[in-house]
Amino acid sequence: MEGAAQPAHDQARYRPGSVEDFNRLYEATYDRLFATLIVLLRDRAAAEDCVQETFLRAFKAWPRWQPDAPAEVWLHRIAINVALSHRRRERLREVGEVLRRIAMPADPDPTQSPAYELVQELRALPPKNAAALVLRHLHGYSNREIAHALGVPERTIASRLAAARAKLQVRLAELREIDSGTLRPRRVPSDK
Amino acid sequence: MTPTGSDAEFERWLERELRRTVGSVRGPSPRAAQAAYNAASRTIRSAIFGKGAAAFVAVTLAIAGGSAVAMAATGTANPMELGQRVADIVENCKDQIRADDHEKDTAADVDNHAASAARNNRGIGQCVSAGVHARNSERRQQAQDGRDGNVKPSPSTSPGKDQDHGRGDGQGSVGAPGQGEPATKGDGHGKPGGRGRQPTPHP
Repeated sequence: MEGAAQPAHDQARYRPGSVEDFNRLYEATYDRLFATLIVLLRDRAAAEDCVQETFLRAFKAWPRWQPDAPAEVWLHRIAINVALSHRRRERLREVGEVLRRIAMPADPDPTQSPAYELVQELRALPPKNAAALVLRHLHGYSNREIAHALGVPERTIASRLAAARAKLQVRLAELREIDSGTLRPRRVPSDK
Repeated sequence: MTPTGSDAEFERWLERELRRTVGSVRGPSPRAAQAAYNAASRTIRSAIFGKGAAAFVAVTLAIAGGSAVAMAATGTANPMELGQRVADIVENCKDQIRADDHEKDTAADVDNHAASAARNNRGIGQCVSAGVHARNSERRQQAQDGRDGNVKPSPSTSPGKDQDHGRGDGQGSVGAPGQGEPATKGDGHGKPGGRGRQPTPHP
């Protein structure tokens, strides 16, 4: 891994139940959690809501936090669960949204720009696979930390990462071919 | 670099692109003071230490105030004793009112039985109030005597049982307190049930 940011292994500095420490944790990890969630979710507003929901849940559980993993990894676990719940709710709302958009054009989504092509394709992956890629390649998590954040056995992480990378690579390659006119566009399912 | 290429090349490209596109994204405010969890905890704190605390203090004061009033009235903080003493005072007042009515009925011979019964509780508030005041005066006097060093022995601090019942009309009821015989002790207004007539309390 080349130059990926490392998660803060500073759990010894955080005391469970301490409001001051939680405030520090919030300020140290907010942007990183936000970056993860903006990949998993569809827009900034949803990511902001889910980050706040994550910290709200974490704050309630903070007195019972056990430093068996970095606090940020623990937060990511909560955040991913929040994001998955949010996506499930979003799917239920999508039917109504589609009907509304037929009647009126939607505001332009900045993440639809070519610069966010990668993000769009990550969002099209299964959420936990996308989360694993973000945790590894954006935040520099180890397999063990990713396993903790996703709530899956550590031995499955390597294969999950490899499968997710391969799938993403294929999708991006197809997009390149589409751009160059050698491949017809296909519909990308949003969730699998 | 393109997303195609070897696995290692793709990983490097992925890291770079993620940091460029997502890593630079910032949320609205990472300040803890503006976080939802802080707002929620402030709400909880204000609920606990604001209205909740006010309600708690109000209830406490109400209970304590009620106890203080009752204690002032009966001279004891024991709830069981409080209740018993108040009941005794009320009962004595009822007896006294009945006795007074009986006197009037006999003399005038105009009231029927129902009217007499209806009058039974009339003026009882005044009587109870007077009884409480008399009781408090008595206790104050006892306390004063105690401070002066001339403590008089008192058979009981319970009103209406020993002292009040045994007083009759002040003409000497020397029998067992509260069980005087109306024919020979008191002024003849004692009831056959054994209770002597109470003195009219003076507030």
